[in-house]
Amino acid sequence: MVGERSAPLVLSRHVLMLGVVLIVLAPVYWMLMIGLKTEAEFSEIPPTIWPQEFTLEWFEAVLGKRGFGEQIMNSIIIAAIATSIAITVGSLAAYGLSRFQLPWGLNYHILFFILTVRMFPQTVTVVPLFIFFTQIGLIDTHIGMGLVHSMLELPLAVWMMLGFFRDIPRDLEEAAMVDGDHWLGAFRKVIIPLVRPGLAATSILILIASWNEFLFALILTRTEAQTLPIAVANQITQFDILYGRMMAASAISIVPVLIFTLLVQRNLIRGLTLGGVSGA
Amino acid sequence: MLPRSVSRRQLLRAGGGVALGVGGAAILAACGETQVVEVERVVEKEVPVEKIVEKEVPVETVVTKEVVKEVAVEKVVTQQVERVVTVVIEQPIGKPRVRLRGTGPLGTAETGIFDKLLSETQIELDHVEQPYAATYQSLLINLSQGGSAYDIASMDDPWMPQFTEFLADITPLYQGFGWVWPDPDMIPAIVNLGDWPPGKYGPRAVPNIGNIQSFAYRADVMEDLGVEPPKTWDDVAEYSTKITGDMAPDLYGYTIRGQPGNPAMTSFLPIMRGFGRDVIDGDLNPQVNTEEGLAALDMVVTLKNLAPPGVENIGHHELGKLMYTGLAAMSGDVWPDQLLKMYTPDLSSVVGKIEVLPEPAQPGADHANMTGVWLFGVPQGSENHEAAAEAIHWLTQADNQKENMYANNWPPVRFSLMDDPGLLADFPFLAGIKNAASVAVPRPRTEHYSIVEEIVGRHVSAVIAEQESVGDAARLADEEVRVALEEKGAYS
Amino acid sequence: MLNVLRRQRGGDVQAIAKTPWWETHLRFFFIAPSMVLLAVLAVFPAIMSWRMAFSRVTFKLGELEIEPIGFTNFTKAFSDNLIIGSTVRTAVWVLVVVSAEIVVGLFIAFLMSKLHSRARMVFTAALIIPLVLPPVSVGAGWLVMMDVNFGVLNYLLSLVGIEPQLWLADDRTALPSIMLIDIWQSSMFVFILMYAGILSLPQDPYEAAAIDGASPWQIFKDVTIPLLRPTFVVVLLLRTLDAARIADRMLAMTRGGPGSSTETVTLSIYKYAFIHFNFGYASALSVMFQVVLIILATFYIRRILRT
Repeated sequence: MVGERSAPLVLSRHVLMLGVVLIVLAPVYWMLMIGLKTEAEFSEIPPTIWPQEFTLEWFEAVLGKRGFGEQIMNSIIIAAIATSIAITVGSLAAYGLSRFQLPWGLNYHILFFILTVRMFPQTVTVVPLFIFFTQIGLIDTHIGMGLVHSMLELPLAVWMMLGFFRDIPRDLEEAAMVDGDHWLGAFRKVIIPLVRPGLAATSILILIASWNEFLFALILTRTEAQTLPIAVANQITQFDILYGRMMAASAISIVPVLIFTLLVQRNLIRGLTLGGVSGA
Repeated sequence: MLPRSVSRRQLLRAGGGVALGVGGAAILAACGETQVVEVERVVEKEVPVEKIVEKEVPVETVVTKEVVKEVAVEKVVTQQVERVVTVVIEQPIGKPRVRLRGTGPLGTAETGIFDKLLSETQIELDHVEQPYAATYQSLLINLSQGGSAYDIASMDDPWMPQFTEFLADITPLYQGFGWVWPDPDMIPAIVNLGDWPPGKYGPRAVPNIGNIQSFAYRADVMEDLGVEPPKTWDDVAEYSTKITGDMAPDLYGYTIRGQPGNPAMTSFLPIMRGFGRDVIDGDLNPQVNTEEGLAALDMVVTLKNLAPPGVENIGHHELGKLMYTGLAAMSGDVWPDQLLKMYTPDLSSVVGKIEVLPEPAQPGADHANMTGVWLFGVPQGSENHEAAAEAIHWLTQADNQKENMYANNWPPVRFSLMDDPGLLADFPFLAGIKNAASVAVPRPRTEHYSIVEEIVGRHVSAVIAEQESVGDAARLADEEVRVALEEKGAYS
Repeated sequence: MLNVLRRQRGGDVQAIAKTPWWETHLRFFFIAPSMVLLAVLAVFPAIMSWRMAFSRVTFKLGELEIEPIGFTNFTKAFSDNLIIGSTVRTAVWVLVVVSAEIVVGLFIAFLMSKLHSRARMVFTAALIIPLVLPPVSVGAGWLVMMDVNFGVLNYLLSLVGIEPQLWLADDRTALPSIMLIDIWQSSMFVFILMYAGILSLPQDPYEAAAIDGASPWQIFKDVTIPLLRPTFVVVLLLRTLDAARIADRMLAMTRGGPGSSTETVTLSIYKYAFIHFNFGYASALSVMFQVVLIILATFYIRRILRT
């Protein structure tokens, strides 16, 4: 893939990407700076690139708020549950569907059925789910929220992983099994390494989706499992939008996901068979 | 719980409430048998003499393991009883834990008030915040389907007609404590917001935040124009024309909120009422497509054209900003929190120049400032009715209301605070709010108001954005309201 | 499993006889967890929603009163001006937003795959940030930036001599403005998945092509594009379905306004459900919305499978 290696070309690519990144991040920078400016300053004309009167007022208000630490933990726990369930369950299904032919054309129907979850506006399903969760005691629990989020993201997991599994030639795992490995061993040693980029990318997206999910978190949680998006939205009070606090809370809320992304990133390099061409 | 009268001075030193020391005689009588426990901490508590005299118990029968301590109480000495016995027993009643699903009003709140509540009443409020825009739906689902999810709900006054059937009756709860309800010190118009259908249940919610809409204007600009403050909407239009004509783009005459639904409707309602008609009548018939409604919409168009650019998509925050940055001279959709900002020197360029009035009204029509009062109620499903009522009572006491005005800018709902010199000195606009409160009218009282607001508010927004003509908007708004309410069974 | 695989490929009867029952039925065990998860959490609420679609729903203390009224909720939709407008806007939204996001996301993904590995780590993490920001803050932040009087965008325009724009406050530019925000954010979704797709490409075809002396453009056209096609169609499908359900952005920034110029189907459904509390009608609209998407998706998937 990296055919040409002339230095100017490589450099210009990096510069181009740097430009893209700067354009994408400029609004983010602007938003997060609101969290460091006084209320008078953030709507000043001309606007200030760097806060003239640097304030930690909003960060202190957010961090000092009772329950904010718990909300971060809730988000982390729920996102962890949701991501692991969706990725595990989804990959299993994707692998099964990519390798076996089920009777009555079930492969297609199951795939399509899974996709319909993503076709229904979730607005109206919240209330039945609320009543159901109240009855079985899953309301306001981490596991309940984690399950709901994994359900919402299952289509993403299955459909993405299906593509990655299909790309892997069957001969590879059959060869491994002929070599004496049990199928599980073959799955672990041969298949998983090959789909690592797909697993990493999909799990990042599922984690983000769970991290930012709003409607279900709003209705299905109260004290024990309230998540960060609600904490951020709580800065819209009936009096005002507390922009400073909201952006401070947002800045804090993106940190755990960025850490996760950086940890998972080493999987976002070429899989084993492709190892030779990574790096320009 | 002991009645509050037992002791005014709290001598409780038991931090976590592990052990509760009480006047021996009274509690022993109450407990019947001696539940003796390992004594880890000795806690003293004064007990009024009368109680002890009445229920004196021979000390010998209980001393086996208790720590008996003598406490000298000034009053006691003068009486015939020589000593007071303090017995340490296991706390008979757990500290009731009350959960409050607070919404906006508690969103900005410093939680210090809850700590004070805990130390004074032994009630812990576990406050669940909700974003304002989602509170209504969350509450409706939780109050109707959520069982014992919450013990206290904090609600905006237009929601009351939807919620009263899910709320417990406050009157017997207050009576149980010997308190009077409705509280005679609270402004009756505001207390009655919790009474729906009128007279059926009595007021089922206790007002907490006396939020009132008002008409704010720049006194200095009126002076420059050489005019009296506007009394009618025609005055507003006339002055705005001059101001915008002379001063734009530095200063515009009037500002209005153009976002569809609640924002546009909140700006529109005082105008429409100022023309002498409400958006729906007593039988829920929509009234926008009437002579007065059309005139009000025409007024909206006039004022919008004299407003700063971009009002088609502004909400509460942006309207406040247009006022405190000195870009707009008048608005009939100003609320106490915005006034506070206009009076804040760090933020505002118009400190001391803003005056507050009741909403303008055309000749013959009544001034109609809108209420935006927040009320506490006890959901029927709650399992802690008494404790919830106690917490609500405590939170709405005058001294705590005053504290909340300072800490959170929650305007009080009590007569006794409206004229409080200290408050008035610190919050000069409270006087204007008091005048506004005297002519305040709640939004149309029906459980379907949110529907009316959404539909009419969308068409008002369309008028402001020049998407629809005044005639079309009025006709469509009335048609759609009628269809939606018919479906809800409002006319049957 | 090897046996199962073999049987799939033409049958090895002896092997099947030796296999334990659970391994014979292994293929069902793979999908079972998904099916259970969906049955419990998705199917039950969906059935309830379908039932509500044919009913008048009232919230009573401790119960949901569901009173069947036939097709009334469905027929009403066809004379509802708000819904008709929303449908058109949603269709436009999906077309514009998804195609732009695919282009931008693909561009970034290809460019990224050609960078030095260290640079890729940093840039990828940076590009994910727009996706990670809480949706409410994204709306509020852009609202501040697009403010007509105090916003930084109008200030920047004034620096280059362009007069202030109304952005969200004009019914002609409001929807395009929100589209811009969506493209800024959701292109990164496309990027991440396409990037992973590029990284997973098998290497053999490239070696073969290199041996044949193919030009970079030929390699791109004849090797990369066909190999990436499966990932691409899935991303396109997922992104389309997500874009069709857009509502939170509008809710946070314009409430569907000015007037109804940014009202989408899902936003209307939200309003009917949670402001009108007309769950019957909202459910009926959701059901119709789902049916339309099912038809579109079937059409789309069938076409993919055929080619």
